[in-house]
Amino acid sequence: MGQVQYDPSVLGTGLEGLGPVVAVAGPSGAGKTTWIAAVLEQLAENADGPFRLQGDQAAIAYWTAGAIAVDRTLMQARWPTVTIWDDRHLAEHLLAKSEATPRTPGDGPTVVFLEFGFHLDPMASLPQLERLGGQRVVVLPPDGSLGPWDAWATAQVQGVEMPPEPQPPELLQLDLTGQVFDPLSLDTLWQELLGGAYGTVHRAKAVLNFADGEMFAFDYRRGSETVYRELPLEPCRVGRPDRPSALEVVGQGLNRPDLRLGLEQSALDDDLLMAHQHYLQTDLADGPRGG
Amino acid sequence: MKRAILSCIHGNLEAFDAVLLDLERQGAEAIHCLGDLVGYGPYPNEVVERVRSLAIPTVQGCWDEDIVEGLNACECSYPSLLAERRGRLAHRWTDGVLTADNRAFLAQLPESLAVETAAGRLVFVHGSPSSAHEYLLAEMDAFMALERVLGAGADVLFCGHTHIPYARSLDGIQLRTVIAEAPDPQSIPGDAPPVDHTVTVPVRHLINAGSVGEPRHGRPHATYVLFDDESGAVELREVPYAVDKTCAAILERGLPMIFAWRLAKGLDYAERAEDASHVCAR
Amino acid sequence: MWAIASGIEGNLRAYEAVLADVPRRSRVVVTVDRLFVLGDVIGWGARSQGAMNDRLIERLVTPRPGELLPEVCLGLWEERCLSLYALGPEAGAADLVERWGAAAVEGLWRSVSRSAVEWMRSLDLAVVELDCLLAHGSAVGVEDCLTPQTPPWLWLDRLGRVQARRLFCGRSGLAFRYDLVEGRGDDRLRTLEGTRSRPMMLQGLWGVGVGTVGRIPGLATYCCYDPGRDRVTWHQVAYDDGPES
Repeated sequence: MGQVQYDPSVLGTGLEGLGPVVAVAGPSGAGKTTWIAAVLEQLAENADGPFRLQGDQAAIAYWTAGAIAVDRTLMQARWPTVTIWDDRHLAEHLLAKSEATPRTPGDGPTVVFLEFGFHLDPMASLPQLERLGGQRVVVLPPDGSLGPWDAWATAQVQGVEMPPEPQPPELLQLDLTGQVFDPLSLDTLWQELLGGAYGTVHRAKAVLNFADGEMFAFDYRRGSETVYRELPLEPCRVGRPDRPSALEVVGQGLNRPDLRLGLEQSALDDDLLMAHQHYLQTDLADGPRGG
Repeated sequence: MKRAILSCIHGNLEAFDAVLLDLERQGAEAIHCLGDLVGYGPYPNEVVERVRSLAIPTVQGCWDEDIVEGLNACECSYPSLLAERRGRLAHRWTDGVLTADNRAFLAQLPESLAVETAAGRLVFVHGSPSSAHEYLLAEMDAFMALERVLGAGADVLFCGHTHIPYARSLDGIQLRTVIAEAPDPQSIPGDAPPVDHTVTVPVRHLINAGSVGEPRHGRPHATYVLFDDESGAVELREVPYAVDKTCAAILERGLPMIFAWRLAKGLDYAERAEDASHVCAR
Repeated sequence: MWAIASGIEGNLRAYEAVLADVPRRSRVVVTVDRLFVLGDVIGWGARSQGAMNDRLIERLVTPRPGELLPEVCLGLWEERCLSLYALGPEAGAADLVERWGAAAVEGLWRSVSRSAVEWMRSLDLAVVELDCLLAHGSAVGVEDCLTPQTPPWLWLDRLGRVQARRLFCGRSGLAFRYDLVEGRGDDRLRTLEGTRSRPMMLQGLWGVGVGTVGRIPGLATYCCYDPGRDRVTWHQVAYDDGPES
């Protein structure tokens, strides 16, 4: 997942210095989610530390903005014991408090990672974040400037190289929960998307369900090949999956209606899905046929 | 005489007009059309009317057949669900705009045409001699390609349907067989000596005219073929035209935006001929 | 070794004669361990009028102890019958009516039970085993009639469609071997990208007519194929063709 280096000194005295809030911001594609994942990897190695990732006590929470978020799904799949917060949780648990949350075991998560997507203005959240305490980390590409984050950040992390963007990018998010895709159709559509058929694309991320029951994550950034990854989840072979599925595209001139149409046309309708799942059941039950 | 063979115009009037201009400049004195006048493109009626007004001998393509009889292409044409849905959408749209007169014209098109020339018997089909839906791909097995030409009784077989032009010659063919038959129903092979026979087949040609209106060779230019029926010389022609006008018409007339994008890239709209060893089940 | 038969055409005695003969083809080093029946299990004749069709199917589906369970392909008679039940091509029985009259249509329809029809529906058009294609006609269809007079390029097409080197068929009812010993040619292809040339070559392909079990009164013909040695032999068995008891 990228070449972001985790620099412990960014967070003061290392892992123990974390919390209660680590806010992460930066331009689209710089590597915010990747950096958070790298921190979680470090925490996972420190199994006996105060920020356990195993076991029942959910010490870590993660939030990113919006009703639809590919990153939330990916986080959940990779770190099942991390509590995933949506906007409602954030409002209830954190922003309503007037003081820093004391670190009491059992009193909710000990550290909350807040990932601010590029389209949010981090300055708008600055007063609340200052009240809560913790770190405010900006992830920037190697030649990036602090610019809008100068007054906001308490630490800076070097992220991935990114091609320059001439204009402010747009964000397109589509909730695809319950949709099951035909792999060859999705492949054609993805090539069209990356080829500019639905607008200029800088970044595209998706978590999608496919006809054989598996779920895949797609990660594309302009200038690189798409990275495909199968998620370690139970295949869904009966009915429609209810796990979250979404597509996020960052770019310019994005054509939402035609992209939606293409996605609809690449998805199995109820009859097709039922027939395919029936075939999977019987094919798996029969096993290989002898000659 | 120089003959121009066109195929798969698919309602693309701009491309068709550009090809008509080009073939005239090249000195073609006869035109043959291998079908698929309609389908996907924004001007099906106009293309049919142009063909009718020029009295171009035309065979019935798979799309022409489907518009007349209802959609029943083999699944092999569509590489995915998305492609199939786009194809059906294009069919419904074309079905909705085609006039009764033009539909009647498509209905009476023959499955094949033939003409005797100095270069031999020329046979014109859309897909293959046995089916408008069968793809004769450039790299299909050479002996199977030979069977298609010989089976049609042709010296030169012209086909379309794949949307990628080629000229293939099969020459110096010798086939040796040894056949052991039972001399009568009460006997078995071996009761009589086998017959050893070698047959020599003179050169045969299989020529694909590509596509005027929906090229799939990676560039948006129209393709067609020129054939000299005295010398047997073949020229694969590629003709640039105002693709952006067709793209604009696609959008104006309510066809999917993605057709315009794919046309401009020289990609198939939906159908794709892929597997040379697959034989259409229809 | 495989035993391959076709064209039983409702002739139960002929089939039983073949079943009795097959074990004799086994040798010490190679035994007959598979039996293929290339369609036309059922049939209709002026004499038999399909009387044994149902019993024949039952006999195939439930072999006696020591007998092989036959692997069966669809034949022309089966396709005609299925068309009468609206399960096959519409025009499937047209030639039946032309040859035997409308009474034959009803007779054929009545000669098979519901379960027999279901069994016929389950039959594949062809079987591909190792590099062999086994079919009543060919992979193109049951009506495809390959004979010693079929031109070599047509044989090559029928073999090439499934990339087989051997083709066993029964539609013609004839017993023959059609060896495509060798072939050559020059294949030149020009595209928008350029030209390429390559030689055309083939060697050692063959097709076999397996003969007919039930069509010739009193004499059943079938063949055996040893895939290990790539050898085919034909066998004829006489049987009593007198009135059915």
